[in-house]
Formats: sequence, structure tokens, C-alpha cells
Amino acid sequence: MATEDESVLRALRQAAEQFDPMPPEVRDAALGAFAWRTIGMELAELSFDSTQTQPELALRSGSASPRLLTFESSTITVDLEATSSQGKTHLVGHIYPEQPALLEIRHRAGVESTSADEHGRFSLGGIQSGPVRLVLKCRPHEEEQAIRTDWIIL
Amino acid sequence: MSDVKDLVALAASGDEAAWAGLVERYSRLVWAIARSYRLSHADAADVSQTTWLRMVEHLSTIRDPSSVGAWIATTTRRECLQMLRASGRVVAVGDEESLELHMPSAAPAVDEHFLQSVAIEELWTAFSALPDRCRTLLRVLMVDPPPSYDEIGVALDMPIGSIGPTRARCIERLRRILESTSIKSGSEGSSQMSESLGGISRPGKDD
Repeated sequence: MATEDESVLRALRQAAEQFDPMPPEVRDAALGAFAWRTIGMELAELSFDSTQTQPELALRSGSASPRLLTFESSTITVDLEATSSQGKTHLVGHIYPEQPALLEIRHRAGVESTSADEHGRFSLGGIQSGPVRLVLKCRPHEEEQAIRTDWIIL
Repeated sequence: MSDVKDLVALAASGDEAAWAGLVERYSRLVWAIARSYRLSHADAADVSQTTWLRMVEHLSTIRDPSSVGAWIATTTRRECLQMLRASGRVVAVGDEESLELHMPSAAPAVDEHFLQSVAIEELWTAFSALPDRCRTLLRVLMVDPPPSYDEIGVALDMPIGSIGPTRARCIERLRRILESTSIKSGSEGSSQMSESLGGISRPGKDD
């Protein structure tokens, strides 16, 4: 690269640090992510997201259309219906095979707990928009198991 | 600076200082990529957080730890596209021309702090006046330490061979914008900028 180009880039880097710096809270959040390490937990991966397959649904204004998500691990499947309005999301979920479970929904502002009934159904409201993950404690094969979902952005 | 491979291995075994080293090394790149996709501060912050949360989960399963930068850049791009899709700005994946058409041309946020150098402000204004494609590439290049071509390639879905020539063309366009600004205003600030950029006007160059 020409040395004049290199000095332009150096000046641009300075400009970016001055005019579009990474906010300190963004760095802090990145550092804090380390605390969410989950060693050995089974992962339920995102296998379906309605905003990916039907992006035109996202164009409708208002919270009329819920977002549908499915997470699958080797032992369970979780269907979620997420309805958002004004920065908060309401989740309605269903675990298959149907079974009770303890749930933690981890989001930006903290952790909410709830439980699923014997049909594997649960609901939780007031979840702050942003990255969200569920941790489920259930007994798909009689032994208690902790299963975490992928992070998604609500 | 520790080898990135070592940082990944240490962080995977629970070493928080190594994690901090990875954040120090790559957090600005993640931010720059998100901003190069014209995401707002809030959306860029969400993309950043999700990228780092995914990074934590995949620490021990990364196949090639020395190319973790490219993994981070790819993940950031994916999250940016997901963010754009979810907010209704439909994007044709992998089609860079489409990407430009659908991205809003919002100006980058101006730092609220008192401007220490008028020359730098001019540079930023000129940068903001560049065509979308140039702003996208240069924004990602405006990171310390500078990203590798691999990282840029996956972050912006650009063929690696096109990065160098595009960069050179875009910097030349930036120079021309600064030249025309200094001709119009005839300000001292511009000639200051001229000098610090290694001489904008190139004697004998046809225009």
C-alpha cells in the first residue's frame, strides 16, 4: 500500500475513534459475556425463525404478527412465540416431548424464572429486547438435564 | 501481544484475562463491522453482545483458533444481516449491490466531545460524503489493529482480491473530496490536513 494511503488510513482511524468510538458499555458487555460460559450444557440450536423464512412479516407495523422460533437439541424441542411491543417481549413456549421444566430466561437486564407445566407449556412477559437465551432444567430421560438455547435477539 | 491462538486456548480453559485480551483485540472490529452495515448504536450494541456471547460458547469448538478473527467477522456479519432482516430492511444475502440499495444512508454518529482538531472533523465529513461502498469498506479498515484481508473478506462478503484495489480507489475518492472542499473554502485547516495526509495534490496528475 502507498505510504500516502497508509497515512490517510491512520488519520481515518483517529477520526473513527473520535467520531464513532465503540461505547465503553459495549466493551463492558463483551467482557461480561465470559460469565455466561456454560460448560457441558446440551445446546438446543435455533432450527426455525419466522423472520428468516418470511421477512415480509417483519414489514407489517405493530406487534400483530408474533415471531415463531424453534430450538432443537438431541433430547428436546422448544417452540416459542414471541410478541413484542414497546421494547418488551412476551414469550409463549411449548416443550416437546411434553414435560415439566424449570426455565431461566437470561436477557440484558437479568434473569427471569418460570416453569413449564406437565404439558411443557410456559409463558413469560416483560422481557427486555436484545440478546436472549433460555436455560431449561428438565428430565427428558429421567436424569435431570440442563439445556441451553442459542442466543437470539428479540 | 499474545498469539491469538494462545488467547483462545486460555480463554477456553476459563482464563478471564485471556478473554479480555480477545475483547481488546477484536471488539472494535465488531463495532466497525456493525456500523459499516449502517446499524444504529443500539442495534450495533446488540450485534456486538450477541457475537461475543456466541464466541464464549464456541471457544472450545473453534476449528482453527489462529483464524478466530475471521470467525468473529463472519459471525458479526451474520448477526448484522439478521438484524437488518428482522427490522424489515430486507437484504439479498451475498449480493453486495442489493445490500447498498437497501441500507439507509444515515450519517455516522458525531462524538459529543469537544472537537480537538478541526482537520479531523473535515476528514470525517469527507468520509461521510463517500459513496456507500467506500464508506462500508473504509469503516471496517478504520480499526486498530487493522483487520486482515481474510477478516474483511468475510465481514463484507468481498472477494479478497478486490479489497486492495477498492481501498486504493476509495482513498483516492476521499482525497478528491478533501481537495474540492479545500478549493471551496480555501481554509487553513485544509492545508493542515493536506500536510498530515502526505500531500493531497499530486503535481502533474491529470484530473
